[in-house]
Amino acid sequence: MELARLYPAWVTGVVLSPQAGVSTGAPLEVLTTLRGSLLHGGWLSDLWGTDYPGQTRRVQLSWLIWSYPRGVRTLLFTSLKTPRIPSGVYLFPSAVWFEREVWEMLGVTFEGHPDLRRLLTDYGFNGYPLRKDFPVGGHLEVRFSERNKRVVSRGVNFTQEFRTFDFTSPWEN
Amino acid sequence: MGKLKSFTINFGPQHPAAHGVLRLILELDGEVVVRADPHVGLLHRGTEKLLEERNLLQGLPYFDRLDYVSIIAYEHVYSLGVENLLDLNPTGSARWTRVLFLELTRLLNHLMAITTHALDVGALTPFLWGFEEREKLIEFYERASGARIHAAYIRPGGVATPVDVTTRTDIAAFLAQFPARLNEMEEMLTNNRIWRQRLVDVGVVSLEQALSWGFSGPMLRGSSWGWDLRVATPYETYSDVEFGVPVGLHGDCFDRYLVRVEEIRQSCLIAGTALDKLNLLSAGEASTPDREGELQPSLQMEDLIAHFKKFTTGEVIPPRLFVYTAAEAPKGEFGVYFAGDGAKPWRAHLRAPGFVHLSALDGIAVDHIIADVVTLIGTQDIVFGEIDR
Repeated sequence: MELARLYPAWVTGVVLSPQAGVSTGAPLEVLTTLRGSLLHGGWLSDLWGTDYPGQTRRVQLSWLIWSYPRGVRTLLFTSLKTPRIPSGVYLFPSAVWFEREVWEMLGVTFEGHPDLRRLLTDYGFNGYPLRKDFPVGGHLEVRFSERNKRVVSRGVNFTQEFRTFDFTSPWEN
Repeated sequence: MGKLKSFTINFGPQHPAAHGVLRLILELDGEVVVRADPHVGLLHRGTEKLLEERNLLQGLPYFDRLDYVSIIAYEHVYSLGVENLLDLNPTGSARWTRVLFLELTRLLNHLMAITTHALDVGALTPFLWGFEEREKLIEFYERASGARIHAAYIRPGGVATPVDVTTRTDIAAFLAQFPARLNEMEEMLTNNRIWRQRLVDVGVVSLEQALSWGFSGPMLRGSSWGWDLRVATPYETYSDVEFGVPVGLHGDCFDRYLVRVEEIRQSCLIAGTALDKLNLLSAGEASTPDREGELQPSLQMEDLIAHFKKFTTGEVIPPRLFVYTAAEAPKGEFGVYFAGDGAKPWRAHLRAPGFVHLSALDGIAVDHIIADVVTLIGTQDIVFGEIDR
């Protein structure tokens, strides 16, 4: 892949199949290069995070960069040891909402972000929903309280357990 | 008495021009917008989290509920993603059926976009006419899949059922009369004095801005960048179809309206081509199987067992695999990212075009008067199912 050839110091790994992706230890440097150089002329199309609990570098961030003039899409990965990273808002204005979403969903702080507020979850929401230790059903549910005449939240109460079935048969493998 | 400098109003979340559940905090100086802060998430259902709890076949219906005015386009991207992940190849007729319904979906979406936009701005009649046509299109959905809205028609490996001859004939009859209906709608709008006063030179987005905000679809094409994923990264059988990509010149709301109208016309042509190809293909195949796709059962016992296993465990994704798949949905680039592990995706991420467009609303709306905010929301073609996910 071109990036690995041009910037060997920054690229730590390359995957080619079924889709090309580059992992890096210096994401902001690579993003600046992708944005600034005439060769790439890239624009941020998407940014998201993935949680891998149990790994020392738990959160993986992924940037999707379109180089429109060349019609090339670059997937850039980086894994974070601590959930902190400088913001890319000043390179890509479209990063404002992407970083807000990653922050609220996974708890990654983007340093220098002008407006890091919750985006999709409820006002006053606690927790990071896309972390793997967050249950699908959540922690709180809301209902209308007849006595207080307002909407109140309380702990979730499921009449049926969330069921997962294990279909692996013992004599396979 | 102190001088009142600026005040803040709540636009939505129940305002009909907010296209669903947009809560917009508008800071105003007189009638001029100083800051527009969209509060989204009132329709957030955690689709990404839910997808991580389900196997690859169970995930499909969630995509119908993302953008509920262009349904099949979104389940198509999901199916493409699963096919890329598992290396499946649908048959030629399944691909042409997909193209046919993708373009009908584009008609559905753009009819909704243009006519509700006109409704917000004050023109009621195109809305009534457009929804008459939408109703006909929704009936084709129903005849193909059994469901009017949440079709679950395009599936990994193919489509649920092929379209029969009578439906194909009726779609052809619809496409023959539709351009006249579109002309009627254009007569109402394109040269209408009020429509032009409300749209021309409102919400101008320069090309540099459009690119830096990550726009795609008609929002990007309206700003004079002829970018269409159907051409840039051809999928299905789009490379075998001749069609044009309309481009606006000024980047204002009126140009985006014109782009959408022309896209409707081009979609009619593509759908016509797809119909012809389907008619040829079905004439060639004397005995078409009644259900298509690789994930359909046969009546052999061994096949039934294999089929049962597939539908209970789901297809197993090879470990450490990731795929980002994107296609040109009517609103722009819709993408699905899967990172694989076992039967369920470890991470499923959705790139919704409306989310990106709405994030730039603040930048576009500043220095417009408050009445223009309605125009801007209309031109962005916002649907909250996909933005909030």
